[in-house]
Amino acid sequence: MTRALAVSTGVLGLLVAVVPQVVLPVCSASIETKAGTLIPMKCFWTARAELAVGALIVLASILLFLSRSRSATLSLCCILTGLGIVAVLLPTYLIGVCPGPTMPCHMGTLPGLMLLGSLVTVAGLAGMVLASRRESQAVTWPAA
Amino acid sequence: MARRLSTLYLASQNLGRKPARTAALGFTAAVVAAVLFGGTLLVQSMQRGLDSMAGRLGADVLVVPRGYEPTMKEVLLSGEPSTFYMARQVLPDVASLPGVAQTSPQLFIASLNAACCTLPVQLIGFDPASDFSIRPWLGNTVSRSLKTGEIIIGDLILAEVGDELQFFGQTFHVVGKLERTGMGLDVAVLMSLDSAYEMARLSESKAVRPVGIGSDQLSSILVKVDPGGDPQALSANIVRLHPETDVIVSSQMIQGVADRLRGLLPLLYGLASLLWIMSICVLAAVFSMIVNERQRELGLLRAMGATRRRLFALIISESALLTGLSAVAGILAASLIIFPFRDLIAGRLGLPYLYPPAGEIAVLILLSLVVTLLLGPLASLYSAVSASRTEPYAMIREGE
Repeated sequence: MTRALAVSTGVLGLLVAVVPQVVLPVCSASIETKAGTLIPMKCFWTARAELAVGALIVLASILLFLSRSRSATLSLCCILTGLGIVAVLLPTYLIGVCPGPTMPCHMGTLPGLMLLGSLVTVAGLAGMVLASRRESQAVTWPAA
Repeated sequence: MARRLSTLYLASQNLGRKPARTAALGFTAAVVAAVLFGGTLLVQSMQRGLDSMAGRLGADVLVVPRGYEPTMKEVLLSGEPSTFYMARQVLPDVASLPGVAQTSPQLFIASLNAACCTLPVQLIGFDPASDFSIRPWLGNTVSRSLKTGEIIIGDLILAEVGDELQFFGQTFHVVGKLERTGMGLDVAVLMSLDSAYEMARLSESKAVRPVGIGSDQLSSILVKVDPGGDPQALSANIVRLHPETDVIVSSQMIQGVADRLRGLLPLLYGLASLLWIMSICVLAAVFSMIVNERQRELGLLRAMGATRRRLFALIISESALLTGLSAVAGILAASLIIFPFRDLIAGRLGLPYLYPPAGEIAVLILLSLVVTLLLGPLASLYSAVSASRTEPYAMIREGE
């Protein structure tokens, strides 16, 4: 079960990294300052940050797939839950996306990342519950 | 403490015993539920958007410059920003034609990148004195006529009442915000025709790129036909009088989109029916296999005192539990796509898009749930009947 969960979160992590770049890309236009400098919109930085968060989710998922000890599984699921929350917070609170409701990042990337981040969080929480259950079962097993 | 072997408990334990098989079977049913709920909601939303547009468009005939008929449809349906114009002289000529009850001019200007929107928006200049098309959308938003420099914005424009927006180097005050219309007006900015002409005039000196429209030009004329009048005959007269114009008969335009939607419905329900039938076949085959595989277990249950009815109920509950939970998962999955991506879907469809009221959505959820839930009991009916009819001894021997 933990391995299936690890594969799922791995795929979700890959999507967190790829979605803002390719599938539901953020705005490609830049803002021109009065001095004539072109600066990227803030959704560009969200996409960059999600690249790192996605990579970390994939890494944690690989470790989860390989983990044998219950405490490692529990810790990795806890990390995945946190990373899922960060994936949601980046476009909504920490960095944000463009405010215009018709902007590509607002219509597509934002709900996409919220959905993926929430799924990673739910998967992480489910993994924590499963791991702690196994742990409690192991404790109650009668000694030989 | 001993646990009571209720039918539901046994059914859930049986499903949990083979998680991979349960997940694979559940996926089939979840797809049926997702297609049924998601597809129907999508089509209903488009139909509602279209009905809303048909009810409030107001004009029977729209006169636009020659070659701009598709552009005008884009402006109306999806708010694709465009600038086009024709001579103002067309207006009195059309108004004087027999069969014309009322006319109202409009001016369409695509903005440059605006601070509020960054992407261009459609600026619409309308004549408050003769208007009969925009007014129904305003409702109680603004009860008085718009003054020069005042604008009303669509629901998707990022500003609030009291804000100031810049277009073509000039400042406009937002005095009203429309409710969601599901069509092009959501991403449009409305101002009086005088304001629009003034903006165009001042843009020559204030804007990086002037509008390039004079007060002797307009973009479209909205025409209301006399009661009992023939919009087709009138449109032929208009084109004869002004060959440099194109005429859109609104009923035909709405009919065209409605026909496209009607074409989608049989396709959607055909696909859902096909999936439903396929799922029944797959589930029936798998449940027959499961029941055969568990002959010994079922025989022992009978031998321990379970009645035929109990055995029948056990198999039916198992399948109903599977398809019921899958239906919930399928509807949830479809909701996670349809609701958060509402604006993206509407934008890609390029059609008016308005969700049905919450009550109708709840009915749709319930219907999709029931139709998918029925899959299980119907598919396992034969297996359940045959298992409940077999003698316990024969079952135990067969299972050995």
